Amino acid sequence: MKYGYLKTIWHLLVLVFVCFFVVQYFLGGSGNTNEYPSKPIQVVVPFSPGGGTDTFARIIQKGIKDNNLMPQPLVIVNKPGGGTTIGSGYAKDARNDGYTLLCLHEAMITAFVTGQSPHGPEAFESIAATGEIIQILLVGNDSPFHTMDDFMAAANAQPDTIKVGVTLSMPTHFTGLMLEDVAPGVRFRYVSSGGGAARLSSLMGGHVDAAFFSVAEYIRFKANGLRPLATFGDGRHPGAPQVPFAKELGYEMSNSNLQYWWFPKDTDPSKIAYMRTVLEEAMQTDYVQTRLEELSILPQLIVGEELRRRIGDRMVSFAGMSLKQRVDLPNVAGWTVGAILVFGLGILQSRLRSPEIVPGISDAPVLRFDLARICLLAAALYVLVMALGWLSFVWATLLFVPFCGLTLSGFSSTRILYALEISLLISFGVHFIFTKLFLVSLP
Amino acid sequence: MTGLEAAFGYLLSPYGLLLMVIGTILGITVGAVPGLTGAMLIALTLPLTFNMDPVAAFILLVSMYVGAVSGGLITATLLRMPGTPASIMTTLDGYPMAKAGRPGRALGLGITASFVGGVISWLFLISVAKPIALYSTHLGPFDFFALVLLALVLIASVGGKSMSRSFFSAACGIFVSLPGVDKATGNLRLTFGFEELNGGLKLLPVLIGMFAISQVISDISRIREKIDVIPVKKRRDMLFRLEDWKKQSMNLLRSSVIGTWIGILPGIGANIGSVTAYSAAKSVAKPDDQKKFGTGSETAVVAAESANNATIGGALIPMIALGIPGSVIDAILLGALLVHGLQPGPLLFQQNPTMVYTIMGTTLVSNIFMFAFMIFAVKYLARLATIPRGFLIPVILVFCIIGSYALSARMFDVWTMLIFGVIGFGFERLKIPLAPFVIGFVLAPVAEESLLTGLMASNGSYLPLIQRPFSLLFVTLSVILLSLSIVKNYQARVSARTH
Repeated sequence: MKYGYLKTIWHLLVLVFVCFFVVQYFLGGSGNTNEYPSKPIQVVVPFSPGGGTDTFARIIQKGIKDNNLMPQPLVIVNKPGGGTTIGSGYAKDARNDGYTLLCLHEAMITAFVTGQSPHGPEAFESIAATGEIIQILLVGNDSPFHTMDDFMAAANAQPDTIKVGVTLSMPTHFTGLMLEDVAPGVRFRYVSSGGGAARLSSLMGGHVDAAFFSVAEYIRFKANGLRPLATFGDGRHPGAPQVPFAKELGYEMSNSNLQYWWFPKDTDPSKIAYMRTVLEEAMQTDYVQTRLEELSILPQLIVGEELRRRIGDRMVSFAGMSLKQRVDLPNVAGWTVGAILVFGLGILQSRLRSPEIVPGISDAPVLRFDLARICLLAAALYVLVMALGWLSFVWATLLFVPFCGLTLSGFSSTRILYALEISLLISFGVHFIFTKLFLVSLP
Repeated sequence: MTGLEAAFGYLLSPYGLLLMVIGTILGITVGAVPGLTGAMLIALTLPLTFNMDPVAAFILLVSMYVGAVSGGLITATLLRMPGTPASIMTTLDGYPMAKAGRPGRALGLGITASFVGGVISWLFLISVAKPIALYSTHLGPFDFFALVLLALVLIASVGGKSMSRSFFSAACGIFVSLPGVDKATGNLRLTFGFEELNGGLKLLPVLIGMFAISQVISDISRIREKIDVIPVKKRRDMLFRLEDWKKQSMNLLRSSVIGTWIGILPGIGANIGSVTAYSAAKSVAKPDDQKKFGTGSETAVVAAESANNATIGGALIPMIALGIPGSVIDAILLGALLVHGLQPGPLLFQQNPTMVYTIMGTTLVSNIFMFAFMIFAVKYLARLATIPRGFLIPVILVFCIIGSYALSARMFDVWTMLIFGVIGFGFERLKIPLAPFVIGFVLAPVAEESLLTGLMASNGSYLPLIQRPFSLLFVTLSVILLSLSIVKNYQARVSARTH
């Protein structure tokens, strides 16, 4: 046994690490007071990290933390996808104990009135609306349209030809529809063109004639050669004071995006009031004010009765819009299913025609599908136990790893020690690395 | 060039170097253990990088990519088991060399060839990516649609043995991408009432399932197989001598350029690159050298290994410039860019030059680390293949599960992953290739969105598809490729029947 000392070192190392991780695990669970909030509050952001809403929520998070406005921090959880319905659905179904917040702008309303989302503002308690994002209509520097009136006149003279880049069923799309509403005869050809950077590149490549952006995006992308036609707020935007706003030009409409904060339905009113105060205070902090100015977000703050009125108004005005698709589009799902059937039949036919001799398997050792089945079942059980909340990650893993390990490598007394060591390392170690070092949540 | 300076500042900082060392070593390790793949490692690491700085995250992920493609040659040579699919061709000649008592020589050739291939493709990457990206704003939605079409045809006709299997796989991938919000109408489709499906099936759980879990299942079923490793003794004959350089320089250059170009083609990655370079090297070799191919030819090892590493730089070009992945790993990296809020394409160069130059810089520097580490540690790396897999497998399963969960903290993704693991294993058993599935899954949304956007802009007319020069080119190429391979397929079948 030339390497005997290696084994001793291994066992010692494992012991040290396991002790460290276990101590870390149990330290984390301390602290219990009955005062709200007694633990971190989750903020669900239904977009990817780095997007507008995510950036906004993180600014508020930092404003609260740096100024000690709350004894517990906000923790941002990104749940993108489904046209915001994944995130809002999660928040709607969360416990209304005041520890799950949703930060979502006007899309809460547009997704509901377009039928994209089964739930709307009525499924939540609105807390406050903070920060107003104003849209701006941009064309390229070489565009024939020099003013908003040129643009609208062209859209009137040749309805359905001017290509306008929007995100379908989202606030930008509605801004276009509202413009059509106040200028009879005007009809745009809406082109779905992704968000932010993707939309810019389709404008720059001449694939759309004009596109809606936020003022912040305009300031960031300005250097690419963009010409602003109008903003859509209720006044000129301080970030782009040279650009007229729609009402000033005689188009009686405005559309802006407010970031709303929501609690699940029937959250305790005292908790709503508490959170409202915290958000109000956060909006007043220097940090938030400076950062919002940098991002050209107006430091709006709407709460209480005024907030409810605004949401109601928006519901009515959006619901009146017709989002009917104006072009016939192919049935992608149908074509795909057709292709699967055709090629599937092709494979089936070729198998039937020339029943292949299962190649090379004969001299291979016996395949242990029985073991594979056992391990997969164990994995499914492991996931199920965590999904139902019967056991947390650490304890479930502590059972799962040695079970599978011993099943696969065969049961023997020396292996039990290794199984135990590895499972302790993995369960507590991964818990430490994920939740403490990388701040990723575990089941 | 502030982006370049910032990127190199970051890369050469202690933190950047540390990440690169960790990434490269982990990549090589995973490449050297049969049953673990680079795609698996990168997919499982991605969730850990969510809270990292995006630049740091990419240093880690790209160096893993480089390491994983390179590490496969160790097991290919010493065990006749390709550690990664990319080194299949290396087994043909590397293993006979090792068996004939020259394992060190075979490994040395492979390592140096990998390094040279990596550097040559890196040169292409830094010189070609930006012009393509800048030009790509001129590509309209129809052009993108035609490009994706070409990618799908390419992978189906070049990638697999049976075209109907490849197309079936691609169609399944496309189908899996469909549930969720319909891009055209904004309505939900194919969600079958599951609210969790509103956002569609996520890339990572599907990929982890298809690649990692299916691999784990097949690993388990082979757990009783014995593994014999040929020991490496002399390290001295691992380095290239002057005469090697003289003899192999044309081969190195040719194979690397082939690898790079195969890498650029969307959808097909390192394995096809090395197959093509291998055949090319064989066809230009002198008759007596030609005979050695398949029985331990040094030229063959050099060709295969320089080409598979060269595909890395090549495949990164369309990923960065167009947002179209050149290989399966690039598909994951693309997802990683989006997770970090970055939009690949022309604007990445403008808005986030640091990120672009970081990816480029990492490809080069991690190649250097790879070379150094492999030369020094190859003896010990070979032993990795013999570590007891009984305990490795449950640990991998745990990582797959939390990796899918961490993405958006919901169990739905974990179930998705497990189900796709079983599907992926089924595909492999039925000899249906997995790569077209992934490319279909990743590219279908791009294709669908560009087609719909194009149709909206053209008011429902398909004509621009053959009116615009680029889309016409791509469509023509697709049609030619498709008909060529159908004809070839038919001929093969006819000749098989007559014999």
